[in-house]
Amino acid sequence: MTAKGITLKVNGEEYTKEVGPNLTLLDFLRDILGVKSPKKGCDSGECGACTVILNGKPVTSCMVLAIECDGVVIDTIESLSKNGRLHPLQTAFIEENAIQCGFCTPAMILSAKALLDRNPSPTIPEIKEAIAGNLCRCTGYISIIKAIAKAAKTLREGDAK
Amino acid sequence: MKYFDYYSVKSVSDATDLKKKLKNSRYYAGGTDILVQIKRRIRVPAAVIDIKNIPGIVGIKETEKYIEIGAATTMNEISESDIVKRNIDVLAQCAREVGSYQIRNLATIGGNICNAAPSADISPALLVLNADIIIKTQNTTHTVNINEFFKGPGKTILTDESIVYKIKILKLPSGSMGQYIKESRVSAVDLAIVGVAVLAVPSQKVRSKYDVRVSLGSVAPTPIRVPEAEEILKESISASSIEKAASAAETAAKPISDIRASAEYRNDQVKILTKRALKTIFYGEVSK
Repeated sequence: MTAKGITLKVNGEEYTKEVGPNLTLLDFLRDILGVKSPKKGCDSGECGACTVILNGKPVTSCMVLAIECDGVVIDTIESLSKNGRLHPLQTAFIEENAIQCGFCTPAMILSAKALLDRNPSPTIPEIKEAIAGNLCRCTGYISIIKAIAKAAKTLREGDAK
Repeated sequence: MKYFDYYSVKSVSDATDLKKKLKNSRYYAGGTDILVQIKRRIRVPAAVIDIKNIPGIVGIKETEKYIEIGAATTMNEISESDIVKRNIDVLAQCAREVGSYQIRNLATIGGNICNAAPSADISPALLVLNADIIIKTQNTTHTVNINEFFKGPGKTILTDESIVYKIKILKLPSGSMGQYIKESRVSAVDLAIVGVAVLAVPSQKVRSKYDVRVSLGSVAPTPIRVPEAEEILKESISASSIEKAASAAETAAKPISDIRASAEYRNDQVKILTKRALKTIFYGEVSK
């Protein structure tokens, strides 16, 4: 097969495109759809900067082929804020100074969101395990872990998402 | 990325037909090893054959005696499965050590063993569980025990168009305890420098005795069992027998020095981690 039409949902919008086999989901999102938030850090699945939520699960999009994504649902950080209102994770990251250069941030927040979706009361070791696949070269991770714990508390206390 | 063709198949016969027809093609599931090899130009196939849609190749099934895991089941599906955690927890422990959470949503058990890295995290559990690998070709289905499956670094007994379909594991009697310890430089997204899995199955005949199995990863051309250690522990479980068994494991290990660690360090760690794993299952959590 040299090319195939795929139809998928990205951040709530449906797209139909023709893709070749040797195109990663990451390159598809960035170069074909113009969704720039997932980043190409290592292109090998090791740094996590390309993390997207695929059918509800966080994956490194550089390790997924676009051609196998017919019918999937993708969410990136753009889908987190609703009507201009930031998600508690985004707010917590700002408040706790968990963003410096910002390169790891979209993916980091998605990994955190995926964690809180499956485990609303994570322990610190559980937070660490969930973000172990997301490298940050700036912060030293402490502020990130604090931000995630803070957002978890906010969400548990029932503030609007 | 270099060009390759992509095919998605919906049956074993379509998969094996295509594999036979297309020279230099590879079966494709999670892609976490294959895509890295393509991108780094280590191994570029002419085509990949996506097998994830073959019926029965994804999923975990519990029968009266066995647990059957489809070859394209992901590491997270395994590590988060109640069936696995309840019956063969050491497998869940190994699955949890692979890569990162994101990688574990893609990487598959079949891919891990077919890639056949000596450091493969899932292998030590499969070895101590004496797992059977169900392999299909165009016309046959046969079973190979995992202890016969690996031939060398990156090499298995698989030939031509044969496809790993399922992994079948005998359920353990209650009271069984298993532990996998992975030594790596960083806490995630790293190959094992040394991997140790131990599994203690209570003897059905003598109350205080155990059938203990010990396997090591990353310290030989393939993952290995250590029968010498297992014999020692079959006789008795004590601080002294554990010490002897750990020494036997160190002797059995034949590690190389590479970018991750020296052979000397690996030898030391085999003994330390085997001891720690055995103490953990027999005496409870061991502080490092």
